[in-house]
Amino acid sequence: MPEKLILRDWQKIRTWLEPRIQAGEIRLISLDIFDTLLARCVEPPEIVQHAVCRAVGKKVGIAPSLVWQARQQAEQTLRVEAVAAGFDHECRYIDLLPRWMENLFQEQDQALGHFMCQTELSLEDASLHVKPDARVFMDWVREQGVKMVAVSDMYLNRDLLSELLGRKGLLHYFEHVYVSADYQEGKYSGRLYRRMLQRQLVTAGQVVHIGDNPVSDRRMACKEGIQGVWLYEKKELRRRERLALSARMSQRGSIWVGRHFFETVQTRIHQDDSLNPRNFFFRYGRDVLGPAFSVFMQGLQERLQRQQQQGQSVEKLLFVARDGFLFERMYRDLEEQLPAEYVYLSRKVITAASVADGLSHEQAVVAFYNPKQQGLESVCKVYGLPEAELQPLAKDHGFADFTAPIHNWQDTRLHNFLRDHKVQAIVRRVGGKHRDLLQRYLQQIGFFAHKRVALVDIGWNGTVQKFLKQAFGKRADFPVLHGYYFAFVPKLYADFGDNNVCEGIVHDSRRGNACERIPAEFEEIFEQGARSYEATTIGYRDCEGRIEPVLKPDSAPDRLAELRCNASVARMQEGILCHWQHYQAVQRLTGYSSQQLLPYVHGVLERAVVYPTREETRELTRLVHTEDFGHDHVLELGKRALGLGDLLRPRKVLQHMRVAAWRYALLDKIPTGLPNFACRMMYLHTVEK
Amino acid sequence: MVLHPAKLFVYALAFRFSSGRGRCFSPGFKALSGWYASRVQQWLFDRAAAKWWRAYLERD
Repeated sequence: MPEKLILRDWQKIRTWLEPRIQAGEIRLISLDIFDTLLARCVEPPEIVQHAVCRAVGKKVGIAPSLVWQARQQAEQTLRVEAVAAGFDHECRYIDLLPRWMENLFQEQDQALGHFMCQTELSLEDASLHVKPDARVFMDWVREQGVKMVAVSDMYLNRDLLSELLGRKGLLHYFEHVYVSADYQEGKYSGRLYRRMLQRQLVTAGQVVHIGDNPVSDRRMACKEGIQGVWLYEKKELRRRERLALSARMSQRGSIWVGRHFFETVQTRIHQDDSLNPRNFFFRYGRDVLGPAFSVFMQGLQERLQRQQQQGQSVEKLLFVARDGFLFERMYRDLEEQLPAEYVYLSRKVITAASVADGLSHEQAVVAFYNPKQQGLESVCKVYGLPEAELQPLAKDHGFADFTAPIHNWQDTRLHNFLRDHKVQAIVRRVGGKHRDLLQRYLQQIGFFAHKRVALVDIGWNGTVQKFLKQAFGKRADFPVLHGYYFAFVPKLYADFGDNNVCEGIVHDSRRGNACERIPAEFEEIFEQGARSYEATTIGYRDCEGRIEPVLKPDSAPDRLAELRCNASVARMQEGILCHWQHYQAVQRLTGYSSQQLLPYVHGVLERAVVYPTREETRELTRLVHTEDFGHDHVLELGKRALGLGDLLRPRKVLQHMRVAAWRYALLDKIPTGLPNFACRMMYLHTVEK
Repeated sequence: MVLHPAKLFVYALAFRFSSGRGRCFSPGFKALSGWYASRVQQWLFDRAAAKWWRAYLERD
């Protein structure tokens, strides 16, 4: 009888094997597959089968629970039949598939069968990863010149399992793959070992079998005379227990669904690359912005599909520069796609075109929302108006200093200035030119050629959408416009006109949910995470009949600051895309909707914005933020952090906090999260409930 | 990315103490207690260790 071997990792197995291989005692190593070589990112494994049933149900229009029942029924019958025929209670996928289809549709459909089989394989593939230590071990065994076979108790037949092993890059290690489903004989009865010994023409004493199951992989192997090794990986067992608890808790709803989902995503990310990348921005993108942007993209896809089902399908998706850049890249990864394009639109070019019929008071005051506004100069910058021509006219209306901030928006001088025919003539002339070029650009991208168009952007006021309607809404071919925003906070405008729908997916201030408003409290970091590396669009030019965007020159002061941050933004986006790739796989496995995940994502963002770590505050405040509303201003994301001494000057502290882009970063130097908690409560008291 | 549920519970208290709406990302006290109970159970009844002892003590 072989010795009782319980080893805790692959290195220990190797240490035990090495002298025996060198002594020529071992001719064959047999390896279990599941939970030994391959580990799952989901627990329990039935989640994969449930996911297959959901995919099949969706394809054929049957409730997933019925598809699951039909499968269970077919499986049970096959197991009973196998036992009655004198075999082990094994179920073969090759037999299961026709029986399952028969239970569902009372007929066979070859194409559907192929779909079911491929879905099963691809979902198994998505849930599995090769344990890195196991691969190192197999490489070593191969170097020693010892043959390896795979022996598994599994319902997938050898061909399917081999395909799965091939996808994981493991098939070439094995001389042969023995699967219980092929012979209807399992390891747990010892029959599969006997068959393996017979086929491999070796004696039991020359074989070592390694697996994670103490009964079928060690005890039963030993009973057959094979040296069985129980691979007892405590860490792995603990991980599986934790995941199983997470899955159980997810049935309670609330944040538990999201926690289960993102724990699975994290497991998958770590399994794929156990190294923790040193780059902070990559990690921040992957762990903080990744969940937020991914849930936004899923929400967008769900809304587009819903519209399609209602027969109001969006015909074209326009990802608006510059923050639509990342969203367009993420959208390209989706399986079902609509025609989509990244378009060069900016607040600057849209507002410039919107004054082709004159500048109203409502439009003029938009420029004064900027805390750094410089009166009429800001109005000119926002609407692209010629300052030199308007300056003398402003003087006539009492504006001695053209750059003096205007705090009283009902200033009589301003009203008189806007009523002046000469002012409006200049505005109309310049606005007309801008509108003509913008119109030609929109025609070029097919904006007017579709009945329903969706704009996708980060947020916040929907300025582009509002002004597009204002500038071209009178055209008969103006499409029904849907604006999908990461966060929608319409502080500037309330009325967007008919057939002009706006929705914030992660945050919409009109929903009145205080807990979801977190993106609006540090807008800049989300804009930084999604933005393109290119400069903002400041106009258009005609290049031999083709309209091309004119971008802000690289020599502009704000652009120079932006260029310095581009490398960090690029790392952040790599992290987000890494997260997105795993997010999609886990979404297929769990089937959770964006609505189920949102509460947890709001919690993740609350942690990141209100309770940042020292490292987060240090690194993120190095970024600079620019706004494309005509100015060259640069917004520093962090100012001097407050110390305990500052608490003696509360008025100054309040002033600091009011103007800070990221107020919670100011509390960085005060230990514990208590000041953040207190500050959060105070802030929530001051905002509308 | 994976936050301790107790942390979320505390974060949500800030909403409860101010706007009165703290449920959105709060795990809920009952569920949180249930989760803690399961974790303690997992720690006390270490199934992995029990499995190991069983295999270690069993007779071949």
